[in-house]
Amino acid sequence: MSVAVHPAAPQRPSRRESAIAAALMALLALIAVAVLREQKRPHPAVENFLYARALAAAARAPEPAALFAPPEGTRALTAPERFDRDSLSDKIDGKAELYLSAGFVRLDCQRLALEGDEDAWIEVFLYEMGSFENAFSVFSAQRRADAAALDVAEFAYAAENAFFFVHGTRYVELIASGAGEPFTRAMRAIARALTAERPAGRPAWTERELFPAAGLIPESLGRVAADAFGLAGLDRVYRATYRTEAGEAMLFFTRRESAAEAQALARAYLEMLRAFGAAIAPAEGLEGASRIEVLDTFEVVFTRGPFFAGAREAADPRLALDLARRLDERLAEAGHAPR
Amino acid sequence: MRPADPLNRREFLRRAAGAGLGITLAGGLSGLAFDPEGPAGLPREEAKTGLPDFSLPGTAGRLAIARGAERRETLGLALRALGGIESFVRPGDRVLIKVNAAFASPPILSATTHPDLVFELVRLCFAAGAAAVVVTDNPINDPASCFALSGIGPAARRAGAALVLPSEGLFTPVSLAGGSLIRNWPVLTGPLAGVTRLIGVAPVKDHHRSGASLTLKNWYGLLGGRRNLFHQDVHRLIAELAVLVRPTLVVLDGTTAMMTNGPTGGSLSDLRETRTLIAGTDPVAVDACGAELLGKRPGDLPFLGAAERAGAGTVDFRRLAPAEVST
Amino acid sequence: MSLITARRASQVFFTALFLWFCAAATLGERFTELSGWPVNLFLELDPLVALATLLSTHSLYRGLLWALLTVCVTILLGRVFCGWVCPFGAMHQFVGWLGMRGRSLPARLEKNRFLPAQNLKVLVLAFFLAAAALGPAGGGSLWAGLLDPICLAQRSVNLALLPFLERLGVAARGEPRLAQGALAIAAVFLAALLLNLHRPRFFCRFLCPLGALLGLIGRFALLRIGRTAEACSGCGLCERACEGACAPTGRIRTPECVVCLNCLADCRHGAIALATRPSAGGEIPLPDPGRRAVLAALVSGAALVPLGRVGGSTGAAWSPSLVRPPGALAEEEFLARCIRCGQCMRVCPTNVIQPAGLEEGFEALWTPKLDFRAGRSGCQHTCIACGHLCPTAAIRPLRLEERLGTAEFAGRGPLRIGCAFVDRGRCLPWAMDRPCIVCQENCPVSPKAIFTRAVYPPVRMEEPLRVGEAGGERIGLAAGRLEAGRFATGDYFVQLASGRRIRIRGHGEREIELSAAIPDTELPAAGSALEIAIRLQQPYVDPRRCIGCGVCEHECPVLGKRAIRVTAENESRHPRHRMTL
Repeated sequence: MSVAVHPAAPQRPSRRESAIAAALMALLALIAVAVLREQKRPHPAVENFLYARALAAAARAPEPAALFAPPEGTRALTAPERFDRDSLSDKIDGKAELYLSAGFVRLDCQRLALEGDEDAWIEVFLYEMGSFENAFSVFSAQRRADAAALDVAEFAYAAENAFFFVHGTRYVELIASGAGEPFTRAMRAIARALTAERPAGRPAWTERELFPAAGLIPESLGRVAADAFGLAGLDRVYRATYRTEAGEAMLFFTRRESAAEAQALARAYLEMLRAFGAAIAPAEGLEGASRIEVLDTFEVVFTRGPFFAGAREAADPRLALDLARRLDERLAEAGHAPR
Repeated sequence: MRPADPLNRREFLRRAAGAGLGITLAGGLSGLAFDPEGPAGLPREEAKTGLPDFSLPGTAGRLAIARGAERRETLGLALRALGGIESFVRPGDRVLIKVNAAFASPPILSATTHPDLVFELVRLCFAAGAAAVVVTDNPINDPASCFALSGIGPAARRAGAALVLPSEGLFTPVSLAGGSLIRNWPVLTGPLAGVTRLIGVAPVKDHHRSGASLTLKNWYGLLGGRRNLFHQDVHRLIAELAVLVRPTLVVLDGTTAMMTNGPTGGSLSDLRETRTLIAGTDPVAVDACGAELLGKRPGDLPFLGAAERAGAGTVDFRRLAPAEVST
Repeated sequence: MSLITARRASQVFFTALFLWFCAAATLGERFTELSGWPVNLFLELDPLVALATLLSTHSLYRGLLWALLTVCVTILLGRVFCGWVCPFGAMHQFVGWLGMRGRSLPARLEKNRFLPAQNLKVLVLAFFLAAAALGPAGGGSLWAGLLDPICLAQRSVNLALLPFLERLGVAARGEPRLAQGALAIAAVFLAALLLNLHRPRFFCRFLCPLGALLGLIGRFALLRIGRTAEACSGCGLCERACEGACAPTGRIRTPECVVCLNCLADCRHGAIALATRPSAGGEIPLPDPGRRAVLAALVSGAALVPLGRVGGSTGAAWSPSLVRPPGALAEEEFLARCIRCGQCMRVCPTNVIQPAGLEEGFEALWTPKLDFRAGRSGCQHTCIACGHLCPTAAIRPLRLEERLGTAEFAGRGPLRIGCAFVDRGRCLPWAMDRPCIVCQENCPVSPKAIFTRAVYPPVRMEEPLRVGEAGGERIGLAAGRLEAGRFATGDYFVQLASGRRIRIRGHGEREIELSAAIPDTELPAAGSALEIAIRLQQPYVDPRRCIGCGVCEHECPVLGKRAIRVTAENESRHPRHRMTL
């Protein structure tokens, strides 16, 4: 192998070689991109590390202070408890869904015993719902038929052993272990303590003004937060029942982001009723409205600007139409009002 | 770089064949051996399949409906119509009474089994010669306060029964043969140890999720772990519970029924005095009967049909010719 | 762009990626921490790891399937992994290049000559595969992890290089981590690298079992280096920088070629090419170590593992000081999977996992062992990181519920890695009359696994104390003196004749102030002897609750040989090691 040594002259790579080399570089770049994308998804070890850290932080978090000073005649029986979205069902089991779908934030509850009677207590449930509308939704959704009027708050009713009312953004239930005067007195005192602690202020809520006044049953005023009338997607619906000589019926409306959304919602509603075998025809007497006969009741639904509204559960088609027209007038007036 | 001559081409083909074979072998072997789960580590606790059958031969299909306002009386009437407590509890038996103590709710709200009923049933068991009576449940809220505030704990103790509160060591994993939900799930089996008779006692309640909470839903209280998950498929779960748990007897207390806002209720106005107590050995039939008190039909409660199809009982309870008695 | 440039870029890329993965493998969500980086990528691409675990466990765990990619590429293209991807190989190549600078051409050609000793790596491979092939029933063991290049590099960087850099202050996160046994690990690493100064790619050519395996797998490579007869003048320049020492001038030894392509650049006649046709000078497609040598290697590998266990290291003579991480399999299964890569040690947030030395036997060398003095704390009982990082599931990935013994694992209880034992001869309240319950305070489980019982022995005084006058909450001394401040800590009590003890709140040299009044009937008489008792809470361990996390050992103030120590008794992974019913 005796050959003179010359430093090898560098050869220019051929085009094919350059192409292959470039392709390989591209492959490396792809690998780098793939690795970077992997980096975004946390490793299970990291997920657990973060979770354990959160657990430790929560364990160190201070206990919630007593909900409020027990009023005269009562004393705290158990420590206050707090439940969030994940743990709400630990307290109220299946009913949690109602609250969760209405924007539930937090539940604080505590039992207060009546002075002088070991076995008599009242459990206070403070559901923080995030907004007045949400609190009103769960209030109206659970309103018992034979409720007695109650004056502790603007929206309140009483049962033999319980008070239910809305205060600011909270829905409050006071449930006593028995019925009778001592309980009622104590519940009034608790209600006063709660409402005094945080003045509710006037709810900035003008929707109910939109319901025509004549024939309205005030206690029936309600709000359905989600899945109204069996249609998923029909949320934030205000409803009220009317009683006239022609019978009873319900008026409802919901305000959407745009007229297009309201119309889409109306179409979905009609589709759903068709599946139940409803007969649908244009309503005479109200432009653009549809008249529906389904399951022995009559309905008239329509859209007006961003509103989707209507009358339902009427035994008489003329009643449905009449109520719908009155609502339409009010909505037309309100159409220009700011949200 | 093309294989220029036949020799090279043959060599290339040989290599290609070899490479192809190699890749296939490697791929096949990897596929066969691939183990995404990893080693099992500790020997898995073998899940028990099923629970013991506590039903008594010869007592199938008995159903009694007792009407009256006083629980002690209606319970006595119903049991006598079924053949007497003696046909279910013999001297020396160890009886487990599974109550509904799910919430720390006062008795007047009817969200839990009424303490008077618990007291009377325990008393009757002892009168029939039972050697021991145990009362238990795995409540949703804190167990101690549930048993205390619902009155069930004090009533049980007054009658001489032992109260067993759930604790972690009392649960063991159980699988239902053929079940898809109850697989390796912690069940409160501790109190069942040594027990010879199982009696379920539940109030009649509306339930937001399952339609109604009667004697079949009562077995939910034997589940541990994060059982809330089952709410997503609650009807199938109740049907599986109906197959898993075969009691000696069930008692459905419809003296005061929770008509709305179940399962927690909260207002006395949720309740109606329906003054009926149903007892029987077929929990599906008992529930179908109790559903009528709530104004519901079996069609409104899918879990009844599912339980019947799974062979756990009969929905058409009238075919069992129930004995109807009243005070 | 020439292919050589591409190859260099590839080597730099993969080496940098490898080093980045090593550095980032610490628990956390930030970009520079573990977050989602696939830190096990190189171990998973390694076909030797995959094959060895396949032999020893008859399964291919999760990410090890990536090795199939390397195998397919090697089947088609030969040892491109060695030349383009392997980070250890890149390091060797670099040091080798440094070592060759300034050498004359004849010297270079001499250094790159093929030596029959290069067949040694095939014997090394045979040895390791035989050790693993004993299989799950026969006690197959992954000694391959000792010399596998990726495992070796991973271990060396994780357990020697990075701790060393941290100690120098480079990329340190808080306290620099302790790395026991780093000397031995670093010595092997450095030796391998420095040998390149003697011959380039020394490890790759002579020792690397993975290189041998890839050489065998690449038997039917479609594209390979070869000579074209016409253009070749036999000058031998192609061997000037031949990394694999594969003798391209003569009959090229394909299993040695690492596809570095240096020969393509060096040949001035265009006689070398990467082609599908065989080399004009002939090929030797398989290594030839000799049948007898291979047989000897196989027999040694198969025999040494059981021979190593004849002493009972995995049976009755198991080592109690070998506390394994939570989730580790029973010892025999563990040894069938542990490749000694050091990933678990790198990710452990408290730094308690350390490589075992030879004190636990040769087979346990560099496998994970918990040292509670070395770490920053004990083994955190809510942490499950090590199992999720282990590429071969020698440590199983646990769920938190299984570790804590909650939810469906409630019947089984929490996972135990050992049990703590109080050394009463060293413990302060037991042996030294000094109050201390640091272990009990730090026990993380609830209810605690360490409980205490109080005893009240009398304090030894140089001069016996005699009461002067006593009344209410005061006692004056007639004889004896009290050292300033010593008895006011709240642990000291005056022991009355009646048996009552009253805590000492404060004292002067000759006067004691009590925290409660002495009942008149029990006042000590003037001139009587006064006894001061010290309250000692003596710790006891409840083996039903102790999970062996070692926080107690870590916190114990007896800093040398700790007065409470965790050993592997009662560990969950070995039901045979149970201590309690």
